[in-house]
Amino acid sequence: MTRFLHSADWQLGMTRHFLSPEAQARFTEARIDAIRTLGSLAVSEGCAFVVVCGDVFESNHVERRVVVRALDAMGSTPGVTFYLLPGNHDPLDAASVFRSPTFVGHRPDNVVVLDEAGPRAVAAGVELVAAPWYSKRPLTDLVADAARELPADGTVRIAVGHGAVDTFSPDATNPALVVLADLETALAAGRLHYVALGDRHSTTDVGSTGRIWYSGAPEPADYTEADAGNALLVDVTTDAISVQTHRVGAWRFLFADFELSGAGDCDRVDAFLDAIGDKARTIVRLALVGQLSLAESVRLEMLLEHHRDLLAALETWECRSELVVLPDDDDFAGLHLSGFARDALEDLRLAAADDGDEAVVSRDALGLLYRLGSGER
Amino acid sequence: MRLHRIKLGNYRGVVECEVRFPSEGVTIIEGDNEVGKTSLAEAVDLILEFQDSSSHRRVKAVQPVGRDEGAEVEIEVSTGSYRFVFTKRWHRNKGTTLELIEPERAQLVGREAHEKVVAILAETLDAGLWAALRLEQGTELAQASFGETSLGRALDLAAGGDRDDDRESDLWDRIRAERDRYWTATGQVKGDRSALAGEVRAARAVVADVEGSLGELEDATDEMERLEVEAGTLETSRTEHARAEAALAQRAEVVTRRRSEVRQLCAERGTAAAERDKWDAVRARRRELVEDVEHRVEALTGRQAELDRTQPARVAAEQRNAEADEALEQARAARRVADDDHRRAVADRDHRRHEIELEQLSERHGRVVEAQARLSEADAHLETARVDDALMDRIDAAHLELAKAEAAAKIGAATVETTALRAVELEVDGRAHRLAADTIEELEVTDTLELVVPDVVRLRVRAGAEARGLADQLRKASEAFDGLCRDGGVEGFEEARVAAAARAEAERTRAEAVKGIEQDLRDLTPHVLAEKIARLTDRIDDYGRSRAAEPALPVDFEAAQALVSVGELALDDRDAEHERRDADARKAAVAVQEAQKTDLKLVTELDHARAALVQAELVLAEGRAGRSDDQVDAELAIARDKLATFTEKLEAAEEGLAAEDPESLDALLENARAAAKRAADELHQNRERRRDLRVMLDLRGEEGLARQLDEAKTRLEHLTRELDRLEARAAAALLLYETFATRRAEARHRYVAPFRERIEALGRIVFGPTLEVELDGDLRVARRTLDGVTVDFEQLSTGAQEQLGIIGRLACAAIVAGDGGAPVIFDDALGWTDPRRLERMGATIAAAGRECQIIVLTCTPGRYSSVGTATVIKLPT
Repeated sequence: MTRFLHSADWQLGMTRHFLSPEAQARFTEARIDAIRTLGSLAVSEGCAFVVVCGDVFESNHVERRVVVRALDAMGSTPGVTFYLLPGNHDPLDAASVFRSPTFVGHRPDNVVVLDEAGPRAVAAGVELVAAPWYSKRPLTDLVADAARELPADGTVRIAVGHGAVDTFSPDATNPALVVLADLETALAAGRLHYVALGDRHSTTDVGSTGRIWYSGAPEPADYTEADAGNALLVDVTTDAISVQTHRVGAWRFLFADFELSGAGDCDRVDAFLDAIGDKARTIVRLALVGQLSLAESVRLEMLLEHHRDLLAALETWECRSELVVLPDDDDFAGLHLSGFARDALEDLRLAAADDGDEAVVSRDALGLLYRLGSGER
Repeated sequence: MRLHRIKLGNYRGVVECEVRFPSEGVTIIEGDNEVGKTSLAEAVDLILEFQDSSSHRRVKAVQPVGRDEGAEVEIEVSTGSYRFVFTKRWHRNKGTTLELIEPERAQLVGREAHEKVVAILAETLDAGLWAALRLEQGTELAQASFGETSLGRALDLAAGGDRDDDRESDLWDRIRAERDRYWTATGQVKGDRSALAGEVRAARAVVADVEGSLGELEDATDEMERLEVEAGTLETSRTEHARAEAALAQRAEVVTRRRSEVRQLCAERGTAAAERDKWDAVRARRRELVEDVEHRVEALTGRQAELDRTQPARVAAEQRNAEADEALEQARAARRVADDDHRRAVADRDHRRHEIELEQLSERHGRVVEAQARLSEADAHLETARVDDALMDRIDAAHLELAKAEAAAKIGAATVETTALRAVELEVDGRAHRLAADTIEELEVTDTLELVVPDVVRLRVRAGAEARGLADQLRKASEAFDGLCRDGGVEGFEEARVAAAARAEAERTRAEAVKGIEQDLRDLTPHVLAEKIARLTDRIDDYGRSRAAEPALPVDFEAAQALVSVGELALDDRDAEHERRDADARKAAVAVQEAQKTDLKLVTELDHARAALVQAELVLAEGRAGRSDDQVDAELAIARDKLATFTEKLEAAEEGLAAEDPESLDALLENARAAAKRAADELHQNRERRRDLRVMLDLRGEEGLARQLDEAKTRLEHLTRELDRLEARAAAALLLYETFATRRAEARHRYVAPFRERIEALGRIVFGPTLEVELDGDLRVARRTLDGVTVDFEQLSTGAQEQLGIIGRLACAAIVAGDGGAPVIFDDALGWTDPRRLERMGATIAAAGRECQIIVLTCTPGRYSSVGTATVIKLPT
């Protein structure tokens, strides 16, 4: 039985524009920490090696510091060999980070780049069938190419690939899609026994064999990733397969939408944000739609500001027209406006009730009037 | 607000002064300058504004001069629901006291008292209105601005609008301030917004820059990939070209060998051809020599025959030449004889002519000598003969004068008649004079006559005066005559006459001589003439001596001349004969020369031909001594055979070489080499380029461009969002401002009507019933219309401006009085107003005074006498 860890899509060197510099630093650090976590997990679970299925780096042009820190993290568990596959973010082209002086100069012995397509023996009777990316735009199914003409000779073969599987991809014309049917045929024929894939950041069991998996990224990178932050502990023989999901990531991306129509809705938003644990490593995006009075809007803004301070990042849907702030009578009642000021207020409220850009400006003007009338600056 | 009482103590120059005001109507405070009228108004400001501890310059300014006291002010005021007495002392014994009377009694002191008053005023008094309603000295003409005062609110109320309060003024200020945060006064975008937009642009540029760098890296990566593929192709190509080159090189070697064979055979055939050519040449030379000998023999024979033919002609010519020479010699001798005869005849003729010339010249010479002698003689005579015609004329005249004087003296002179009685010796005037006996002698006494009879008597006879005068004249005439005679060297008149004639003769002779000389000498001198004669004489003598005796000399010149003519004819004949002979002789000589030249040429040619034949025979003999003619023919045949053999072999070898197509092979080989080299070069360039790209990728790949791009994009996004927010705020602020400004302007228009009506109502009292005014946005009078004529406020007379300024304040105070308002205070206004208007202004002030408190300060008693209802307070002097 061969036991190993399946990981992918580390995308080291990634930055998120919505993070503050401080949060970005922690976010970056978390990705390095995830490597150490993987190493420790591999040791504790008695894994022979770790396969990383592409996109180890965010780009071939990452900083030297990112490279050396990643190598250092991998080197901290010398007993575990990390097999790194070049993916679409870090293809093995002329500018490849894997061939950079820094990588070559600092690569510890337990780090191996799968730089040649095809089988490579990693233990007695065990081969990795690597399908590295040589450019950002391959013209064939690289996994199928690497696995072609393999014999079913009892050797345990683990395909290590990267890219979208045809059944998941909406772009059927992409020549580099990994054809699921071919993989399943190879598995059925005993030429392959496990297919370790990267590219999809959510942990995914592909097809029906239970032997084709996307491990997902060890740390999430976007709101759209349903189940990121895992590594797969794989036990494989020619006959049997066992895949266990292990949580290794610490960060979360949360997305929530709220329809707001009154003070009670603001409370719901507040409660939702309040309930989030480990806020410092949670990135939240809120899609807020509906209509609020000026007073409610001010309150919402204040509570969001409060949570923004606590969370790693809090984004709100930037399209303002989705959340309409329309002042009601109460908003300006306290101002006791009379005479020309009242006339002007009514003019603005009338304009704000329309659609279009002018209405947006009118609402902003009302909000400003509210602030100025309330004595705020 | 109503002022009830003001009390000053030790205030500026005022020791103590208290004024009480009626709560309604007009109060006129009269007083001389410096009694403290203006101080009253000022004191109200100070007490309300400054604490007792204040060291403000305005406070310092009111300190009494020369008194060690503190200035004190006390006012009693009612405002809103309050009525209080407020007392304050500065400078010394400082203190503040507030005694509240209404709404409920209370007493406060110090800071608390001050602050309470401030609070009461803030609550009840419109500070702007308070200031606007004051018309201080020196600012009479200024119109008050009521734009920001409670007038607006009062007018709003009067216009039937809603009541508003300070809140709106604050809000309006804030709205304007908010607008001013983003927009300049002229509606331009403010600097910080522009700066932020600039930052966005800069951030966008950074993104583009880093994207550019990344693009370069990606291009380099792509190029590297392409170059790697290309390197493989080039390697294959190079190998193929090298292989082709080797195969062609092998074929080229065969060709080289064949070429070498052909070259060898070519050389051998060349040698054979040279041998053949050599024997061909030898045989040809032999034939030439034989022919040469034959030719020369022929030539020799020809020349000899020709020489034999020409020789008799030459001899005949020589004969003819000798004869011509003889004839010529005879002609020359005959001509010589004729020439000699002719010469002699000419010489003879010349001789005879010389003789004639000598004779003529000698005659001329003789005449000249003779004339010269005459000339010399005449000249000698003329040299001594001094009596010329002129002198002769003068002598003649003197002589006449003398004769006249003698005659006169004789007639007038005394006479002494002496009769010698015996012969006696007398001395007359000292001269011995002998008198014969019996002779009577008369002696004239012209002057004095002394007669001495020696030893006897001395008689001295003196003439009378007349006789002496005549005697004197005579003496002078005599002296003149004598003097002239002396000049002419003659003695007496006759001699003078002869001398004069002789001189005239001599002059005539001389003139003739000179003329004769000139005629004979002509252009010669006597000396030259003599020389000529000598030379002619010599020539004639010489000729006579030298000439042969025979033939005899012709008898005269004419005979000689005839002989010359005869000689000339004979000479001409001899000359013609000689020329004929000379031409014949020349012709004969030329013929001889021609014949001799022909002969000589033929002889020379014959010699040459003879020598050449000898030489040719020698050469031929030498050649035949080496190889006979037959031997030469045999050698030539052998060489021809050999050449034919090599030619055949060479043709065979060339055919073999051509079969290998050497030209194409060369081209192919050259091409293959070039292609291989080009492939190698391209491969080299490919490697170089890849090496460069490798270095670039290694260096730049690790610069962290991906992160830089992320950061730049993040910054751009943040800045863009910030700018959007700022722009949204700016737009909102502008919209809010504009909406409020529009509505406010509309409200202002509503205010204008009641205010304007009130101004016009009060103003018509002064200006008449046609008065209309137009107000600006700050409720100031902009234009006045009177009797249909509209004039800008600034164009009005100073007096009219002052009057309208006061009417505006009165109108305002009247309108707001119901709401509390503030007192209207005029300090010595209406100084520019004429008496008629002043009277009407009085009525206006009185009318307004029915609605509000009006305080008028003046130093001109009577100026406000027309204010009928006024309370007048006179301040003590």
